[in-house]
Amino acid sequence: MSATVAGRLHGEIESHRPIRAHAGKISITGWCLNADSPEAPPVRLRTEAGILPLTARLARTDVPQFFPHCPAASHCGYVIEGTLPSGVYLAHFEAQFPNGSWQNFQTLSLVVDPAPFTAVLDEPIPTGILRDRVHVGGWALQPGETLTSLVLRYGHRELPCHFGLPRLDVPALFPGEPKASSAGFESVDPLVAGHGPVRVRGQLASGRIVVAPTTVTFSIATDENHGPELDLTAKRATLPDGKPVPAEPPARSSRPLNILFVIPGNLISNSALQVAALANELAAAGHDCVITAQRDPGTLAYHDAPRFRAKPFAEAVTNGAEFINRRGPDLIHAWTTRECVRLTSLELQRRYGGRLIVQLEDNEQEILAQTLQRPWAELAALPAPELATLITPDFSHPILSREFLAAADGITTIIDSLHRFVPEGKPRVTLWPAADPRYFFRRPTAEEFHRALQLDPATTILFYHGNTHASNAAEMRALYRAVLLLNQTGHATCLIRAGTDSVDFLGADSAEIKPHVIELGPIHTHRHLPPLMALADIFVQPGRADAFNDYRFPSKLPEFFALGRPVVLPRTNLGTSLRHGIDAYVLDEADADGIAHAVRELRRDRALYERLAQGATAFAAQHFSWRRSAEALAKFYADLTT
Amino acid sequence: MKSAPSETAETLHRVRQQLILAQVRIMELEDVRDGLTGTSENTDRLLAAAQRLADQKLDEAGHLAKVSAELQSQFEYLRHMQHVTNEALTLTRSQLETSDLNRTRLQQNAVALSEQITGLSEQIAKLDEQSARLNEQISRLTLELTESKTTATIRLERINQLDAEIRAIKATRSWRWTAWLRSIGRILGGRKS
Repeated sequence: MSATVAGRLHGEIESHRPIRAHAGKISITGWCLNADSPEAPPVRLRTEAGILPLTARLARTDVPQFFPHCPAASHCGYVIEGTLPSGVYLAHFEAQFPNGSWQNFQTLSLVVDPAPFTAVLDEPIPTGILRDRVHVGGWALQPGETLTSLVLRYGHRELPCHFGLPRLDVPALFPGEPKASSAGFESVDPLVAGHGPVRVRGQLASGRIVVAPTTVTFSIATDENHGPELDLTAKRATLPDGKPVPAEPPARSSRPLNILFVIPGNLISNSALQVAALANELAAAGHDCVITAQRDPGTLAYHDAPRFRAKPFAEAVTNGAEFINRRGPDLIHAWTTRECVRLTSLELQRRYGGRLIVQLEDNEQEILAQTLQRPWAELAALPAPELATLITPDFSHPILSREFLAAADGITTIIDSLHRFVPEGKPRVTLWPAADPRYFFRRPTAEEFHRALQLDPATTILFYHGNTHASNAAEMRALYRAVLLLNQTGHATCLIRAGTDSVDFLGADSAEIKPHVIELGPIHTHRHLPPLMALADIFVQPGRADAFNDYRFPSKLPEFFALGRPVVLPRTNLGTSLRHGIDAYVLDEADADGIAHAVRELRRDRALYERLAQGATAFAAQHFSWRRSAEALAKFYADLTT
Repeated sequence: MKSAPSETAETLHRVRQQLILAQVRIMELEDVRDGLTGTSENTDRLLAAAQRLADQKLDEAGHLAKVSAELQSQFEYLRHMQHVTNEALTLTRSQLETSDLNRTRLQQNAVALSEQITGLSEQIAKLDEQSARLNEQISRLTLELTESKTTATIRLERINQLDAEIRAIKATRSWRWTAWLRSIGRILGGRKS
């Protein structure tokens, strides 16, 4: 029950442990007695920052039960109170013997939090709502530190203040604090229009920013720059939230594998998002997953609660994937045949072993041909030295990529049409992408935010997220032109666009089209997209069947469908698996005219709109699931490794 | 001054864009806030855990200090015992050295004694031989003595017989009557010698 020293001194600290003193204030209770003395001994708390003496003595009814023959037991309770500078200390609890010497009976750690920044706004009112355009003032103090600037923040406003003004009342609240007598502040200017609770924000000499709330709200309706038409007290319009259906945890694998994904680009590319989703599911099933990315490993921060680990190429090659069981990879899954991935995957396999799987997600031949503006057949016929100068790490090598596929133990594809690139007899599986069910689910229309945007209720909002590059420039132009066409024909349409453009795909039409497009630029955190997508009435994937589109699966399509809005798309890739008028609005060619026609029809035919919205949700539920794709992939892995 | 319609539309367009981006920023800040809240809670938990660990280590340190003190006293005792033992050991060693010397000496003595014993054994053997010879001599002498005694006895009997005969002769009147003749004979014989 107690600490005993030398068989004579007994004591206990009863304050909650670990002992943490907030705002520098110490208050500790306990009991201590000397079995050889009829009187409870004086106690004290000794730290390197100072000594706190006994504050009060307390009667105890419990201690005599344990020391029935000790008269001091009934009054051996103690309280030690005081203040200490912030820091972490060894707290020595000591008692005094009759000969005057102090003996330690317990040592504990003691954390003393710094005193908080304290601010009070009391001029002209200490609490309530202030509606007058007056100067305001109060006091603000960070004990032990010096303020270098001070402002008041309320609503959307920030009001600078003079500080260091004399205050006669504050020193009594902070005895021993030298700056307490000059803790006063006053606003430089009278209040300006703004509404909201007031916070006092200061910067300290150390550079730290401190903020303290007050009990005052400023509500200034107008000033020289704000007329009464602007209601500053209005409630902020928010984007609709919603709750996803919680998913059951996946079944645990009876044979966990070490899986190393090798991906091009960074960790927020479309490829990376797909790999991350699969890796999360595989990890949840008990596999150990590591993703090595070509660049920007810091982009892992944009993932919410990843279950995998990430490494840059060089580190993975040098140190290995460093799986938890300290073994090498059972599987190296190379995501595409691009040179950077091919070279890294082969080197990883050479050094650490493992089965090699290659994912195909694009017609790499077509991408190379489009980028280099040369026919594929011509490129494939080039001599090796010339090819070496043309093929950068971001492209697939016409010859080496085939050898890479031939050397692989298995091939995964994003869509069945890519099977034509798979060597004969090679094990293969198709894995459709899906949408992260934590964020991509049917969301209500963002009507409140729609109004805040002051868009006519009849305006159709389209939303598109994705970058524009040489391969899809024509399609993006078709989408933008459709928006223009709709507006020109009396159907107000606004395209909200997230992503960046690496090519000028609008040319001279830019000035005419841009007023109907709200460009948001890159949205780095993918999970922030769904609330914005909820603004959309219709999702459109432009394009047509061709050598590029037939072999891809736009990763945004599952996300479109999951949001529960009608999806307009061309009869290529996923479009070939959809029922027009039931699952989606499928166009033979999603060019500007086709898109405009589809949008007009959907806006005119409410029943069709509702049917396709329901159809999108149903199709997403039935066909897009990272869980199911990961299970199929896990089975594929298992078959290859047994 | 009233803005031109195109300018107003542009402004409105920009406001719309900024409103959406503000919403994005809000989401980002909410993420940061939630992250910091979690971080702060984690830090608090870690601090509490660190303190608990420190307290545990302090308890252990206190216990170890006590153990150390006990070990120190045991050490002092053992050191004393070591001193005593060393002294005893030194003494024993010196005794051992002495014993060694004694042993050497004794061994030497033993060797000498052994040699003596060997010599004596040889002498004993010789003596035994002598003794055997003497015993034989004794036996022979005893036999001779016995024979001599027998002879002596026989001779004593003869002497006694002869003495008796002499005395008988001397008791005879003839002997007494011839005494004178023998005295003359002795006188004469005496002169002659």
